[in-house]
This record gives sequence, structure tokens and C-alpha cells, in this order.
Amino acid sequence: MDKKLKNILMHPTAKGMLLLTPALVALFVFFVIPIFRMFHLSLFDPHFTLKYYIAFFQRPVYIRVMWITVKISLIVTAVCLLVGYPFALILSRAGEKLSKVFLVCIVLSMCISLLVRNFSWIIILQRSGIVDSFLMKVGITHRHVKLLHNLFSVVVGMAEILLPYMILPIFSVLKSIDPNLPKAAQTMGARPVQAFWWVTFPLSLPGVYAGFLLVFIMSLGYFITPALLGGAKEMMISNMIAFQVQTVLNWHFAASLSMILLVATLVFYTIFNKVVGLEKLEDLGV
Amino acid sequence: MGKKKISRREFLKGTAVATAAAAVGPHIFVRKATAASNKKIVICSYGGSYQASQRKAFFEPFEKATGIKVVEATGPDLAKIKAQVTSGNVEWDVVDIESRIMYTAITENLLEPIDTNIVKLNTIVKPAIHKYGIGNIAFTTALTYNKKQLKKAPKNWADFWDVKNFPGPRSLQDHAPFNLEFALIADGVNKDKLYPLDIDRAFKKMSQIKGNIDAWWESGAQSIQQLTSGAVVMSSAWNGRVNVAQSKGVPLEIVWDGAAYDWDLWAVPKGTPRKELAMKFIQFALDAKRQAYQCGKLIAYGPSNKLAYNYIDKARQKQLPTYPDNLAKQFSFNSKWWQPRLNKLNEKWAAWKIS
Amino acid sequence: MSGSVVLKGLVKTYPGVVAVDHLSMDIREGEFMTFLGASGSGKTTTLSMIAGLTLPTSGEILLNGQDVTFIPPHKRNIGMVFQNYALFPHMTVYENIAFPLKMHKVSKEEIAKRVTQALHMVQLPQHGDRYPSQLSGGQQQRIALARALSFEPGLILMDEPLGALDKKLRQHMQIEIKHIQEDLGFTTIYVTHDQEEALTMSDRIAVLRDGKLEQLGTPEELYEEPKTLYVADFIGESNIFKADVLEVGEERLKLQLPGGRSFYALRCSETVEGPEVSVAIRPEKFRVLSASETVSEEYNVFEGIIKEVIYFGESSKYSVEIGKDVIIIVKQPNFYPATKVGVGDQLTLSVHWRSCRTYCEGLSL
Repeated sequence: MDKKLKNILMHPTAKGMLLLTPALVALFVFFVIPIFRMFHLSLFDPHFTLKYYIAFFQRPVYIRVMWITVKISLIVTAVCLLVGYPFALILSRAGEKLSKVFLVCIVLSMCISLLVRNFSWIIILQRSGIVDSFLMKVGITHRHVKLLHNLFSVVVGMAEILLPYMILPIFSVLKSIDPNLPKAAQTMGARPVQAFWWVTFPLSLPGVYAGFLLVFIMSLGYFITPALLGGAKEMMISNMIAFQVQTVLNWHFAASLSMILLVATLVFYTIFNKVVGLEKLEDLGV
Repeated sequence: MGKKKISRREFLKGTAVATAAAAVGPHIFVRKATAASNKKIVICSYGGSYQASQRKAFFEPFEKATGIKVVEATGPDLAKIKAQVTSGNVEWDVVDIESRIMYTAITENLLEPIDTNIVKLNTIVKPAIHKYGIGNIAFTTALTYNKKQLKKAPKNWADFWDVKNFPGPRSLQDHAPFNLEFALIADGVNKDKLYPLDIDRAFKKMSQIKGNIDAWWESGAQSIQQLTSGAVVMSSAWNGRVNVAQSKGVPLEIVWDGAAYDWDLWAVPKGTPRKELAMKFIQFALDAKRQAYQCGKLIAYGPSNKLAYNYIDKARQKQLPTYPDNLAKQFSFNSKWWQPRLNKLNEKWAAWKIS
Repeated sequence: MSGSVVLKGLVKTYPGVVAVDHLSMDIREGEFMTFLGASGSGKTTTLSMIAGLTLPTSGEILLNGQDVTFIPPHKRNIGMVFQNYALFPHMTVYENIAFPLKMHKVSKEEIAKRVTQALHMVQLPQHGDRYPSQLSGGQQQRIALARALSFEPGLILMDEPLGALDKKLRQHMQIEIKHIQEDLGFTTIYVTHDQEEALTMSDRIAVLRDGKLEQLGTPEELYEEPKTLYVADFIGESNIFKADVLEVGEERLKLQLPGGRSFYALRCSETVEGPEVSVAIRPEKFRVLSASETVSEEYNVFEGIIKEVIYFGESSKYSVEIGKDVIIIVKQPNFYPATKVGVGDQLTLSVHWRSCRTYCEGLSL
């Protein structure tokens, strides 16, 4: 090989770039090109047209579906936060062995098929299912309660699957907080609750933000759970896209819906970043 | 078509990416077929006990008779057929589809015409014969209820709407076709004067029952599962599947009054490399004895081959949608009326559902 | 401001380990007390129990005569400085120092006044707006101290507060902390494993070993009169060797080196058992005798061959073999003119018999 070329190729930076190449190519082929093609599909039929975007804003049903999507995502994120934070807190303070066992359980649960987990909820929540019969047997309810195919079951099903994405970042941030800090706060006259509120909680916020972002953005694109566990009103944007693809066969419109969801997600991320200032928190060495 | 070809793969991947469904399962499940080979034929049908009956009556005998392997797929979505045909990568050689799907597929130019040199039609009933598809069985979508869950037996669609006398959650299929007809019948429209449908009246009637529909089913198996488990007390369901469940001891009952019958057809996606083989299979599956075995022993649908009735006993015939007494109580689903309105009405359906 | 501490039979056990084993002591008001010990000696655990961050297994802790054994930390009114400072990274220096005041519901004006005072005290008046991560290690240390002092607790606990600083800064901070402590007069319990630091700063030192109190005393007492071989070895340097017992006197023992030479040593324990004892002598207690010099009977005289000489500037260290396999270190200041001896030379050494301390137990480290 030409010596000069060899030198260039063996330069540390060049070597690093070479190693990155397969990943970059894969990203380009499987991510950039499809998105570009979709963007194209949403704008050309076969000539340039904005009608598929205009349609979205003209017909209230699509705005409504978007609103339902955001609403369900926010509720799911809030539930994940309310359940996940205490869980992560307990986990971070549990013994080494116990927390390891729990973490393995959490990661294993992520390996179980989404469909299986959603169907389990059907069995648990359906009429005369586990919860319904239990409530009647114990005498809390005297009639069948509708637990399935409504907002409740969708939120439960989604939160159950997305919970790890809230717990893990919060846990890892909590774990990295110097255990002396809340102790120090206590020696300075803070009650345990105050020590948590003034010290542990603010320091765990980067984990909360990360979890919030992960869960919310993943929720926005949810498809299977609202389809299986939802009722008539729990139609999310992905269900609408699938409906356009599968039933209506309007792929141009499906592409424009997908692009709108993508843009909405990016806008949300940007606003979130501006408001919360993730970089600023990093500067503090948190 | 050729100029605006969209790769199916790219499209699906793009959809998945843009919906930000990061790491959450793929939206559409498509099996990748290997290079064309005459050693096998890929057939896509509706799954569940229905496809199981086809396996026993057609697929396995076909394999035995020809040595050609039958590869099965499930869920013959229009989108998937369209994706396969437009990408020039046709994986399914034969599809079993409902009549309205066939009509849409025809307008989208997705099907091969039936080769009547191979497929013999002289003993096939008239309504089953089309240029792009040959009827396989007649099926009925009927009001079905779980006897254990209801004190009184519902007699018709009006009873389905009557939540006072027939309390309990209900289920219907998640799309506009059939349901709008049922709604009109419940509202008092004569079953023989349904078409053209009064759409506004139908949706108005649908709104009355909406709050009592616990779940909108998407697969035939789902409707039976819900009825069996008692999750719902009444549902629309396909009669053959109900029949299979009954034979397993599930206390389900069919109401023939105001039910809809329609045809399931064999069709061949355009551009399959095994077109001739596909036609041969259809001819094989239309055989009277084989249909009689399927409809007489396995699942209670109506065979399209007139001669098949010669091999089905009288008692069994009474359970079939095509039995004259049953036929008289039903209406024929009008796919031709639906086809041009399908997309618009399905969009209206989606909007109505979430409103 | 007051802060006397009494520990009564304090015990802390963890599964399979006794971290603190029946520890009792009185710490006087205004005293600078140091817990000195190797890692695992129980010094930090004891501190943590005094702060209320660890519950004792048994025993009592009295603060100003009050039993606080089961009182939670936030009600004890104790200031604590942690090893890694434990400054709150999300708060400015000002907020850090204000935190204990806020928790004690001090008014805003008063907080501003006291924080300014505290910042002046640690000579960092301009640093209130900075975040801890923007400060050097020494500055963080001072802020931690200012924060612990800002609500004027009677008792300050410090857990190896200077451990992360380099040597020069550490020596500087030792003096600064000592001055502040003397000025304000608060009681201090200071944990360290550095014996030099303990000697420099403390009024009294408690040497801990395996959760037990090995010896409690002033730095001078510990250095000059170590009660155990462990303390003799742990604090400062000691030459430790075995010698046979020839006679047991009332106050002194007559001993014999393995090489044959006999000498006198201070009797340390009531009973002297066995044929041999351990002897500990500080290196600087020896004096090199010139050839013609004689000494009184109070002094033991050893002769030996120099094995090694290490020059330290202000002093030199000689290893001298004074008996069979008994090599001792002798430390001598470098006078003018310098002593001209080298490896292989014969050396005559004298040491007062009271500087030769004996211990019955062996040294098991």
C-alpha cells in the first residue's frame, strides 16, 4: 500500500472514523433514507402537493387524535413518575443484593414480548377477570366494573411497559448521589423529609428529566397497547397511521401523519431542553 | 405504477421510525419470503379455527398430492398485498379475502385474473364467480350470545340495542361495513331494502349503543375469545368460528335473523412468480369432496361447489349459512355498494369512534 | 455554646463484625478530641453514632448530660464536616452555608449576616455566588467548615476533613482549624488516621483499635508514655525488640539482649510473666557517645556496628546492630561539626533507662 495513504489510514482519528463507518452507513440506510423517502411520499403524489398536510389541519378528527395521543402520553408519563420514583428511591437505598435482584427482574421484564404483557392485562382486567372477580368476592363492588378497553387499561398497560425507562435513569442518578449529602443535611437540622426534598430530590432531577423524556417520547409512538387495551376513544396517532396504511391504503397521508408526529416529537424535545436546560445540569457536575 | 414504486421495507421502517416507537414492536408483521421456488406455495388466510380447517381440508392434501410445500401466512391485509405488489416482491401466491377486499384490490389493480383454463367453474354457484376471485365459502356475520351470560335469549339486532332487557357489555367488529347494516336493521329498516344505506341514520343508531360496546374486535378469534370468557355477553361473530366453539362445549348461540352473509374468495396477487401453481391450488381447493369435508366436518361455512352438498348430512346442512331456512333470514352483504365508499366511511367510522 | 460528650459502653455490631466494642469516654466542653486509629478501628462509626447517623447496638451517648442515644440527628444540634466535604453541588456557597440556618428557621436578615460572617471567618468573602465545583479542594474544605459552624453548634464532628488535600495545604489547614476552634471555643471531635495530625491539633487523643479504646491521653502522654506496644508503635516511631528478663525490680527490670549485653528498662505492668518482654525505645532518645565519654548509671550503654546511614538534612538516621539480630534505628541531630561515621563503624550509644519501656504482650499487627 502507498505509504502516505497508509499513514493517513492509520492515524488515530482516521482509524476511529473507519470503525464508525459501518454504524454510519447502517444509520444512513435504515434511518436517514427511509425518513427522507417518507418525507418525499408525504409531499409528492406524484407532483408536489401540500394536500396531505392541509388535510391533517382541516379535519378535526386528526387534531383530536393528536390531542388524545399527547394526553395519554402525559398521563402515562405522570403515572410512571409517581410509581417509578419511589421505587427507584427504595431500590437505591436497598442492599446490594436486593437491588441487584430487582434490577435483573426489571431488565428481564423488558425482554418479555410486549404482546404477551398486554394480553396478560386483558386476562387480569377483563369482565369476570382476576380483578373484577376479586372485587366482587370481597364485596367492594356488587356489579361488574369496566376495567378494560378504556383509558385506565391503556394507561396501566403502557405504564407497566414503560416503567423501567423511568426507573432506570432515576435509579442510576440516585445511586450516584453521595450518600453523605442527605446525612449532612440531617446533621444541619433537616428532618429526613426535608433532607430528601432539599437535597436528594433536586439532585435526582436529571434522572427525572431523562425518564420523563424517554417515557413521554416513547408513549407518543405507542401502537399496540392502545390497539389491544384501548376502547373506542383511545386511538393514538400511531393507530391512525396504521389505519391509514392498512385499512384506508392512503400511504401519502400516513406518511404526512408520521412526519407530523416526528416534528411534534422534535419540537417537544427542543422545548424541553430549553426549559430544563439539560446541559446546565451537566455543568454542575451532577 | 412503475414510476412511483415505493419499497415496502423502506416505507414500513420509515413509519416505525417516525412514529418514534423506539424499540417498541414493529407495526406490521411481514414475513420475508426466499427467492421464488416452485417447491412451495405461500397461502395467506384469516387464521384461527378457519385456517385450521383449510389446513386439514386443502393444504395438507395438496402437499401430499403434489409434494409441494404449503407455507402459511395469516392476516391478508390489503396494505400488505399492496406493498407486495407495488414493490414487485410478491410473497403470497394465494390469498383468502372477503369480497369487499377483493373489490378494493381490483380497483388498485392488485390481482391476477382467474385462469379459467385451470380453474373449472361449471359446478360453482353463480355469486361465487368473479373475474379476479372465486368464492371459497359463504360465511355469516351474525349476532352471537353467550347463553350463560344472558337470562333472556335475544332474537334480533333490536335486542342487541336493547340494553335494558339484555344488560351486559357487547362487542362489534372494528370497522364500518356490516355494523351500519345491523344498526339500520335494529332501527327498523327492512333487511331486503338496506341498500343504498342511510349513513346518517346508521351512525345515529350506532351512537346509541356505543357506550355499551366494551371492545371493538379486530380478529375473528378475538370475538370468540371475548364471548367465551364472558368479557362480553353479545357480539357479532363469524358463524363458522361460533360453530367450532360450540363443538368444544362453549354455550354460544347464533341469531340468524338479520345476519349478513358474504363470500370469502380465493384470489391471486398480481405478479406472483408461481401464478400457475396458484391457479392449480384454487382448482384443487374447489373440489366438492374437499369442500364438503371442510364445511361438513370442520367448520360450518357454506361451500361454493354445488356438488359439495351431496356429501354433507342433513343435520349439518341446517347449520350452514347457505341452508335455505338460514339464507331466508339473512341479507346479502353488498360489497359492490361498499367498495367505492369504503375509505370515506372507514374514516368517518374512526372519527365517530373517538368523538 | 456548650458541648460535652459522654460515651457509656457504646457497642455497634454489624453481622459478623464488632465495629465498636464497649467504648466509654468523657469529652470535655471546648476540648479538641481526636479519634486516632487505623482503618477498621471503629473511629468513623463512633463519630457517626455521636452524630446520630448510626444507631448504637447498645450503650448510651450523653450530650451536655442529656441522653441523646435515640434522638435523630436533626435534633442534636451538632455540626459535622465530612471527609469529602458533602457540599450540596446544586447550591451556591451562600446557599450551602445558609442551609442549616434555614433548617433552624433563622430569619432571612440574620441568615445573610451570619453567612457573611462565616465566609469572612474562612477568608472567602467573595465566593458566595460560586458553586462548589468551581472551588479548589482547600476552598471547599473551608466552606464545609463555615457551613458546619454557621448555626453555632456546641459540638463539631470532623471525619478526616483534610484527607483529600496535599501535604502543604493540609498542614496549613490544620493550624487554621485549630485557630478557629480556639477562637470560638466549640468542642471538636476529630477523626484521623494521621498520627502527626492528631499530635499537632489535639488537646487529647483517643487511640482506637478494633473498636476498643487503646489509650486516651494528651499528645505528650501518648508519645512519651504509650501504655501498650500498639500505641508505642502507632504513634511516632519506636524500636521494638525482645529481651530476656534477668531481674524484676520494683520500678525497673534488668534485661538482657540476645547478644549478651544487659540493661535496665522501665517496668510497665504489675506482673511480669514469662522469660522475655518486648522493649520499645524511641529513636531520638539515644545519644551517640564519643570515645572518651562516660555516662551515669541512669543510662544504659549499647555498642554496635552501623549497618546503614540515612541523611535527612536536619538529622540523620543510623541503623545499628546492638545485639544478635537486634537492629535499632537511632536518630541524631546533625550538629556542627558533623559526626564522621559511616557504615561498618563501631558506635557507642547511651539511653536513659526510663526511655526503655517494656511490654509483656507481643506486637501482633
